[in-house]
Amino acid sequence: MNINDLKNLLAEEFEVPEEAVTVDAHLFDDLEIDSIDAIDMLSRLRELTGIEVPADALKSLRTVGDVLTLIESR
Amino acid sequence: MPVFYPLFGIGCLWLLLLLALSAARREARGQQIRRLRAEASRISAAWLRLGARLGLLQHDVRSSAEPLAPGTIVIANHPSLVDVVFVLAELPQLCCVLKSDLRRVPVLGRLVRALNYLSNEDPERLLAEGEARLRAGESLLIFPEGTRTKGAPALSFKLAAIELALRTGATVQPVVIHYHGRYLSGLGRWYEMPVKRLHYRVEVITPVSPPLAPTAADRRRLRPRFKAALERGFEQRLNRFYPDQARFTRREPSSQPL
Repeated sequence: MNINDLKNLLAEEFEVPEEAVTVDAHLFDDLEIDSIDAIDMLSRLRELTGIEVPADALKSLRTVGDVLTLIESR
Repeated sequence: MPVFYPLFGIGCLWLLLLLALSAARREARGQQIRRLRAEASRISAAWLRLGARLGLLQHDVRSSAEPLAPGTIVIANHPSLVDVVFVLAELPQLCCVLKSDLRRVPVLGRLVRALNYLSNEDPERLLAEGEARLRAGESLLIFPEGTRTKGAPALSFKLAAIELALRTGATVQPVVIHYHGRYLSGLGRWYEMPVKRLHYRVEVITPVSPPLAPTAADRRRLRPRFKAALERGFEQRLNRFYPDQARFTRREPSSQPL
């Protein structure tokens, strides 16, 4: 999973414009991904990539970069 | 020695005893849960009466609401450690959503499981389980701030209660708790003694119906609005009784953790 896959996912699921998705983009402030969306996003990522995300990982996610790091670390 | 903690301990032990009796009688689980929840409500009411008789606590309740409909979400603000006692004394048979750490406290953890309360540890599970419980007619108690109101009171609700209401159409019953002391507020130390009688005012106000939100996209759009409407409802109430002492302002959402 790279940033382009994540762009597709965010565009499909949450109508986020692709050009807004950069590594530094803040999920809530810039992309309007709230905590419920974040739960849905992680559940989609689990389906797509098979990664298991611990429940408390959500709390430390701020930016698109954090999501990518989380996926890489799994 | 603060007298509240031993009293709380006695209440817990009483529930444990009932649990043991219920297990010995091989009571069906559903019946056991109902009985324990009813008892938790009675203990809460008794605790408040005793506090009042000992001159430690004064509380008045204003309730304009009907008895709870099945599958209602009760939300309350959280100015102090014992808020749950006021809500349970007023509204029996609630399923509380608790901080996950409480499950790991030895005696309390056992009780929390016996009462079949929900934990906020895994948000995905909380949403799924909460939805199932509401649809089965259980009513939930959620403190949507997620923790006690800290310092200068400013309400910022987490989204679980809001999402559950939008998903299920459950009525939201706000319970507004007015308390301005320092004792039990999370500001002082737990062993600090209150210098004067604790004064609480509890308002069970008109329930709110969530807007219709059949699709996930509708819920996305409506979450921030419904959240703001509920926060505003609490803030107006909180300001009404204490116009000079407390000015409640909304915390800006910018750069908050999700």
